[in-house]
Amino acid sequence: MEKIIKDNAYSMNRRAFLSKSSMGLGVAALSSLLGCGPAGSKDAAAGIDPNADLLSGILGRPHFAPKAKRIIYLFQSGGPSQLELFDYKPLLQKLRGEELPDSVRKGQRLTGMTSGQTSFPLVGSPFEFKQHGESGAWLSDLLPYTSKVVDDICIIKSMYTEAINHDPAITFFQTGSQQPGRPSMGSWLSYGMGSSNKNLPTFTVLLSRGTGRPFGQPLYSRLWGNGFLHSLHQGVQFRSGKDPVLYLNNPDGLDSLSRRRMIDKIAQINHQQLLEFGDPEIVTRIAQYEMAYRMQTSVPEVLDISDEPEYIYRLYGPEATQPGTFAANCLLARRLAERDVRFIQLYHMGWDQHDNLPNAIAKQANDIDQASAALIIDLKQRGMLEDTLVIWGGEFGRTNYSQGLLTDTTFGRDHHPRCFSIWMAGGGIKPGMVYGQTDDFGYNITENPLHVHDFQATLMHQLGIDHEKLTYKYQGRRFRLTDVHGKVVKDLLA
Amino acid sequence: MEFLHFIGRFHPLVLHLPIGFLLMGVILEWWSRRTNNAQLRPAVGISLLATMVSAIFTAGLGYFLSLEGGYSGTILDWHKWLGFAFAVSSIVLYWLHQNRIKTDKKQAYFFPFLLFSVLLMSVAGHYGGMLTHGSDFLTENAPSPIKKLLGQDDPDAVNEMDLSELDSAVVFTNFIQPILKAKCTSCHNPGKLKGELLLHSIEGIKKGGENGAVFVAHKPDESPMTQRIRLPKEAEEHMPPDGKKQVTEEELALLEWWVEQGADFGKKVGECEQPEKIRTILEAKVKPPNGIYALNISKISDRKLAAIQDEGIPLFAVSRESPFLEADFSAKKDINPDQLRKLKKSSDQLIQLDLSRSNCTDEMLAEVKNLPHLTHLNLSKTKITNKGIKHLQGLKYLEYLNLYDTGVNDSCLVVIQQMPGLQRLYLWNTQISKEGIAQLQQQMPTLMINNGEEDDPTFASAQLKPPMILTSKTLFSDTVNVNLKLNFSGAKFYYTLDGSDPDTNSILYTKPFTLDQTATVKTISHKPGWSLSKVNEQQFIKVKYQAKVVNLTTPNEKYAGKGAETLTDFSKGTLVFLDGAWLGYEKKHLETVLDLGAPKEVSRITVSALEDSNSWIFFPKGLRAWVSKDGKNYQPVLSKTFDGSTEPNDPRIQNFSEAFATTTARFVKVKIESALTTPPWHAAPGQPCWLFVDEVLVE
Repeated sequence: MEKIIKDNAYSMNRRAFLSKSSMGLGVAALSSLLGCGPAGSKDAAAGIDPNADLLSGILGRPHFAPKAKRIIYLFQSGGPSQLELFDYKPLLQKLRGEELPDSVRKGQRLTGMTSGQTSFPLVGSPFEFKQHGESGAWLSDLLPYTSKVVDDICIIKSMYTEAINHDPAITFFQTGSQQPGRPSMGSWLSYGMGSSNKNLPTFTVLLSRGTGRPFGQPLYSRLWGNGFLHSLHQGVQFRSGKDPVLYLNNPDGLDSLSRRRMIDKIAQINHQQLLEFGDPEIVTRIAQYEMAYRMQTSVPEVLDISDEPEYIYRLYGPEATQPGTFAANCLLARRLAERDVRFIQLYHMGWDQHDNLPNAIAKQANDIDQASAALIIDLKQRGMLEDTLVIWGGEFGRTNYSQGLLTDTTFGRDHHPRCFSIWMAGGGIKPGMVYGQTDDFGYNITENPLHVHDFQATLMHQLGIDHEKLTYKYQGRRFRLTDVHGKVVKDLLA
Repeated sequence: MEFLHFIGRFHPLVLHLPIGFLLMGVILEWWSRRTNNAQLRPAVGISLLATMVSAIFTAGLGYFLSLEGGYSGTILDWHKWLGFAFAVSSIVLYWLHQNRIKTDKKQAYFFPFLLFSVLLMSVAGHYGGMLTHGSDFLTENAPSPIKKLLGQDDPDAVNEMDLSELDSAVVFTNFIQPILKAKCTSCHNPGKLKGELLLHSIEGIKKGGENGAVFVAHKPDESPMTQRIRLPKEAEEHMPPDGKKQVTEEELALLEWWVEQGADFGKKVGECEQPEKIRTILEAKVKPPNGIYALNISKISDRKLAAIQDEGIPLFAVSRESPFLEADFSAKKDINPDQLRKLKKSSDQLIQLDLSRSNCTDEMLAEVKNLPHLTHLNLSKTKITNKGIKHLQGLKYLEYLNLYDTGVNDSCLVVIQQMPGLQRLYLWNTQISKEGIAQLQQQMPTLMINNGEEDDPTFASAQLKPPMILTSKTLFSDTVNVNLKLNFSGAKFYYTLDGSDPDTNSILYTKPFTLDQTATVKTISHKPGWSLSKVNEQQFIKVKYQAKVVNLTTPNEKYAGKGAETLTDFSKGTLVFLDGAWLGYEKKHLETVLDLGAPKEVSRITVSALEDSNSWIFFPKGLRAWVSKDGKNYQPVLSKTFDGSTEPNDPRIQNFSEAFATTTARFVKVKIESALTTPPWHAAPGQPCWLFVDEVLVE
């Protein structure tokens, strides 16, 4: 540490000269921060480009022509049951109550919640399935609206993961590692491609609670954390209450001009620190103050949905009028997408149906069905679905046998990592396709398995990024979202 | 012999010396002639002497290198003999020069011979280069026009074949040979013959190399060639060697498919089994690139691009490799025609132009006329009208046109009809009529037209949501403000306070209102064109007595809230049991004594409890109470049991409110009885369960 500071001090001599000879470097750097200085003031401090580099992305231009310019990820937290929604298994209905054969289970490890269970009675979906659209995809009756857009989406029935518990599984999906500490997907994108709207964060997060299990697992904000990347790349959560972004509003009695002066002064002081220590986090800090200042006007504008026409509320459903619901968040997601926010991450919680599944999943499906379909339609009619990739899916699937007692009216399902279903739409993904296949028991994948890392690699590919080439050196090795795995699934591409 | 091989390897090192020396000689000679400086002459001699010595060395070492094997064929022969010839010519050259100095006469032959030697050296050197780097090394990355000029075929070029001819194409000649040519024959050719393998001809492939056959028909897994391609790049056996152009995944798939189909040299595509993946690859290779991609646009120079960007124009390369550019003016409200005019400098490369949500006007679109290669044009949410669309005439490559939310009407369709390449057209929120669209669709049957889904009946029926009651403090001692909210402009809220169901004749909500006594707020929302919402209701209780907890069963340390005062702080818990407003008891009853401060009339006890069967939390089974004036002698006043739930439920909060005969007391002892164990229907029956209470009120 001391050495780093010393080295920085030595490299200062040249700059000390520069700052005397020109009008003073602090001012120069500041003016570039405010967007009115020369863009390439690279020399400003220890070779760290204040702000400019951080917001513009390390890659500059994508590796190849991107099909998607932005992502809306409708994350369904808790593990939605594929067997009640997308993966039609009539055999399970026939074998209701019979034991899961060992030949199918093949030693799959169980969670602590069912490992004590002596019996694993199979249970099929209590909801009917029908074929929809030109693709003829099977969808459950729980998804009447999704079935309207089935020809616009690509259903993947063969996703699989390695984790069996919520937090590791979600962390794996978001960061490519089950252990916390790596940057989230949106942070990688922010780091790689930078911002395309300087007034809003590149990576935004919206949360909603499901009505099926309103108080299930909590979500930790590290899921949208920047890991070892600059903290400028972390996801910014928009809340539904009075303060959409915490600590953004001016305190009572402080007007905008005073705030501006204060930020300028703080930036000056921060800049002095930067010259002395050369810590890049100081640059980040300066940039964050600036971003927060700009967001004071841009955020209320994007969140004020009162200018949306009535038709839009019919489309997304009346729930969109209630702030904080999934429908309202879908509508906000579209508004953020229109403003070129690159990664819009929604989390809808409550899919963890260990018991009381038939009742709860119906409510969950009702929460998301109309708004998800509406988002597809709405993006499409604006010509935006072509370059917006929409993803719907959770962290794992659910077992084909009942957790707890299987009664005439109710049952539950435990976590199941070996196969589950998600869907994607737009952004150069083949529409109207069902990809992958599971066995008749809905337990194992029989065709085209798609690992979480492959999914991530494909996502990056659609954004024009070679997932092997977007890396960050940290603690002596280069890290990337897909670690040392991941293969782009070309079959999914239009 | 080994020693000769050893020093032979120095040939590639030494060979650069004669080249340098000779060129130095040429420069010196030219300089002395130009400045008429005879004093430089001897220096020419030194250069030529050095050339001679190094050339002889080089030729000798080269000969030793050729003895090592691995090289043979006509290229080697040419290189060898030209090399020797150059060595000889360098001797002659030096002799001519010495002669010239000695006689001090003008030597007519010297200068022409000098140039001849340079030529000889260049040709010999070129053949040498072809030996080490392959015969097409120089031109490999040449722009296609130069390649065409040289009569070379581009290995990446698409077959000049129609899709209908695909089935009759010979697999080997049309698809396999081009791969070998691109990736293998730079080493496995008659000139180089690495591994004694020739891959440039059918005979060579059939014969194999020093390790035998390269293909085992029908068995790609056992064929050395595909095996080696599959090896990791680091492996010594991997082919093509690290550093050379690698075989792509698609090419490997084709090779393996060809071997699987018998590694036959005459078989046609139609005669082979074609998995879907292979078919896609083949078709992609056959289909001629269409539209703009067939034009062979070359990349704009970085300097030119930077110059345009420096003028504040948001122009970018589509990707790092692509020659194409995109200009993104979206949401810019200060575009001027001048900026659009500057795009003309990149009109060859510019294919995507985004003007959505900008201040773009009809007049500005006149500049778009000069951008003939546009494939994507986004004009959505701008003020443009038919007048502007007229300027788009002649955009023959346009695939995507977005006119959503603009002022265009039916008469712009005439222009649109003349866009032969148009594939996707967005017309929602414009003045264009349904008839107009139908007519356009008829004329352009493959065009995807999106006119919005406003009329889709699926989304027509909608019941309003009731207003949300934002006030969370439902217990109060003095007054409370009630706030209603719904994000829907034009929706009106009505409410009642008397317990009756509200309708549009009830009180209209205009601003937060104040309650000063216990009441149930029932509210609905209303907007013309929507059906009336359901009722949302919330009870607000005015608490009469502020009691103090003097004795309390210790709650579980994880759910201890703010301690004893939690029960009487009027702060209700939420459905989240972790929120700190709840007291939690595992397999335990709750007993507490409340002190009202002075003897008061009491007649009712209300307990607020939480049930969340998923989290093993259940409502109380019983409620008992005793009263006392002095805190020592208690009289029983209440004993009540409740039925538990019979099935899983979502989390909910309920008030258990029980009345008893009015009596005067200062101390009230309350016992809230837990179910202690989970009910039989629960996922884990008979296990310890929880009791959660947030408030106990005495009235």
